Amino acid sequence: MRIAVASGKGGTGKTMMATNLAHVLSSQSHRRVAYIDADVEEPNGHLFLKPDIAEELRVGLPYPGQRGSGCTRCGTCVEVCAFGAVTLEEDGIRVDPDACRFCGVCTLACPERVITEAPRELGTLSRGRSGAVEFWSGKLDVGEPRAAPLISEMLKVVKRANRGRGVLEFIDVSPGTSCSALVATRVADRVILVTEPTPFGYHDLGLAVEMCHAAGQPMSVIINRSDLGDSKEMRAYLKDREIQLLAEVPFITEAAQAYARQQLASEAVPSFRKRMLKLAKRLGKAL
Amino acid sequence: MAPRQVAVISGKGGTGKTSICASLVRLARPVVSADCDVDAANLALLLTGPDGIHEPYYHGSRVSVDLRRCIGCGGCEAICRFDAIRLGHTGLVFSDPFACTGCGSCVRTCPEDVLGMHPNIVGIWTSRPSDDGPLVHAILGVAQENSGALVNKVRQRALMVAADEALDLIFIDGPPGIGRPVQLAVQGADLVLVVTEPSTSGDHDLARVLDLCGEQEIPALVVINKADLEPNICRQVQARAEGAGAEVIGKVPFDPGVPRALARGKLPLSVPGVAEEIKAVWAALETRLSRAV
Repeated sequence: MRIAVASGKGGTGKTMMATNLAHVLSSQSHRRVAYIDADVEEPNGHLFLKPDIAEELRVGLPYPGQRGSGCTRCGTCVEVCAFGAVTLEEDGIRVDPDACRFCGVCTLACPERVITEAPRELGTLSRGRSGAVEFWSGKLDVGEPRAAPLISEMLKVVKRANRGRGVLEFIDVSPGTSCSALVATRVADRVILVTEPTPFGYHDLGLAVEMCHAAGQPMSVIINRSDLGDSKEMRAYLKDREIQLLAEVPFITEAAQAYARQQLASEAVPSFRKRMLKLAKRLGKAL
Repeated sequence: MAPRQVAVISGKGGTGKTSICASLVRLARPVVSADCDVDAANLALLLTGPDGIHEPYYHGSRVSVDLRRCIGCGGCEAICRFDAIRLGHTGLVFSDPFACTGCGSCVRTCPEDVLGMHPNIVGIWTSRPSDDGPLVHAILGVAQENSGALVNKVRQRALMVAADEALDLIFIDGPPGIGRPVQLAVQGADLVLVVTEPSTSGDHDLARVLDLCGEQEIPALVVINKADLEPNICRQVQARAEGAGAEVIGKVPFDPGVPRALARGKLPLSVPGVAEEIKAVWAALETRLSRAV
């Protein structure tokens, strides 16, 4: 079972919910629980789970290049590339790493078969353990222009590793509803959207709901800091759209302070832990 | 004379960038506002007014299938690297526009020539008048790549609006993160204002955005929002900013009245204690801007 924890707006408490849910569930149930940080531009989950990293894998995708002689400068590769990534230079073809999307069409189209692919590394996938929680985290290399290819590929690696092990996986998705968020959302079985009762939260929740519909995903919602604003309108919206409201979590100053100090709030703050346990129980029922 | 441009960014999401940006717009008005956080454009919720025409922004293409002629050979499914085209239970292919990148490898592979391409709408952009001056904003379509093309569109449009209405200051509300859209949102700005918060993640991301400003040689100033929530980390954040040559021009206290005010569509300027500090930020910003001229 894969659960994507997403949010339209940044800073709503997505990482806080994903790390704490994984933590309380791993200590409560006999299930194997994993936390997977797919927010590869700004991965922050490790700050709270403080895992022991056992392995660091480099993740890459096949990338085209001209190898060997025999290029007749026919220009087919330039013509077929939809992203303008291939150019014909004096000494052969050149591929622009910022523009290439790893689709393979140039390799496929080259009539002389002088274009071949070799892996290009995009980032690192760390694997480890934080207490009973299995920990995975992707980190995009600085200078890589796109996060989505790495996210897609790292989630495939995790899926292969966990096949048949019955792991309950929580995927921490990057904020927003662009393709980086969607590639992580579409491979999940269910989505938890974390929002807050401000006009921003409300507006961006609408976008996130639209994203889940597009991906055909069932979803539930957590309204975080529910007392710092008016969640009445939000509740009505969810009811109207027949979306499950999993929990309303009030603002707890001690929990926010624990977060700021890089602590797991469910460990440091008993009242927050209680909330998380209740939430985990409801989630268990929903599954 | 070209208008001056101030880009408000944060690194980490949820630090209060947009609400502080909107407050500064109100204090400085009339100015042009450009919402470059196209993945979650929220400035329009605070700077209200009737939108002009919503213009589509096209870039790239997506595959479409002519099902009447598909023979179900599955060649396209095998070639697609994005799982964007699959053979369904009916034996015919269907495409997933949210996964498709428009690379065209399936079109080349199809022996029956039943696949074609249609233009892709990345998002829409528009502008509106508001009491605080014109606002240019855009909405990125669901599952679209935020490559920065739409950010550029908003910034170009904001410059045109500033020229048309003879306004000499543009506030840019930037996206979170440090990727390409952020780089394009700050590029060519006269000043960057980083709104951060006293948390480890806030501090971590502040270092990364200040590096970005350094690379682009844009002077950066810092506001620490919710500053009193964690005084020790606040000092650490301040030291980090000053170490990178960025002056901290304001520390806005945490007040539960701010989210409550926002929930009523009111700016943080309506909350006593918070308002004074944001006014001081604007005064410092104004001094810097006049010095730069």
